[in-house]
Amino acid sequence: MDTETLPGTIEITGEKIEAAFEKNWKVIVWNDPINLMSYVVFIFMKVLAFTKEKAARHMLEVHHQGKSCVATEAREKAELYHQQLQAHGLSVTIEKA
Amino acid sequence: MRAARQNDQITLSFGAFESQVLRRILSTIIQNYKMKPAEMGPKEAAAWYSTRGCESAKMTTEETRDWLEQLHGYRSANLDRLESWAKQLTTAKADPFELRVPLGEADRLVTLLNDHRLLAAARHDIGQREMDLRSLAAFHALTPLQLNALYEIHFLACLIETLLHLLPNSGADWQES
Repeated sequence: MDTETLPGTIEITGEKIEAAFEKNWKVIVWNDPINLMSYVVFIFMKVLAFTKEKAARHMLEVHHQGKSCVATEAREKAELYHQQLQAHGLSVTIEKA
Repeated sequence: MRAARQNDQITLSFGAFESQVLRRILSTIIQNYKMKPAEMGPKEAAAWYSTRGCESAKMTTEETRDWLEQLHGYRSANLDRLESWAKQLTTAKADPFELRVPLGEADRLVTLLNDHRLLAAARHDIGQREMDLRSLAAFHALTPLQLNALYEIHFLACLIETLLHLLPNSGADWQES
């Protein structure tokens, strides 16, 4: 093994690990005309473990503003939320903050 | 339709017509859950398997394919339950027809029914304008298939609202503050 390259490798790996855990991915739920307001509140409580009040606040933001950022997480968790929310019929995207 | 919760079970009672509609809906959901995303029509696939989020996440083609497979797995995992509920309605002999759902499974039923609303809307071009229709004259402008889809969407909305009110901690009593 070339020991001179080892420090650089560790540095790059460290950056990658840091990037993977950085909470810089926004989970955005978009408005649609079909999902019921009460259903959206229910799904926010079920998937994101929101309180009723927080779920209602975000649901109303989706309803009135067209979208709401419901979480900012590391990429892996953001992808999980993305999939779970979409599996429950919500319109979701994730994007880097 | 009537709904009641007793201990850990929700019992939904339907008249003959409602039961017939719900049987048809469950059968449609079963057929569509069995289909892979690529086998669905573009409108239906956009409703259930939109890849908009994958694009915004800059997923590769392979990652998107895996993601869609997982999403399909999520839906098709409910097939057994769906088939058992459909069977309950088919084998019921008397009016009212009853559907008994364990409390722990009711949240899944809510999502399955909601899936049909999304699919029916996408398939028959039901959007905000159609959802807001309130006059008979306006309904006459719709095609028979759109009218039928709209009826199913509103019927299932009533059913979902009823189920949410029977579920503990569902947030159904949320209020605008």
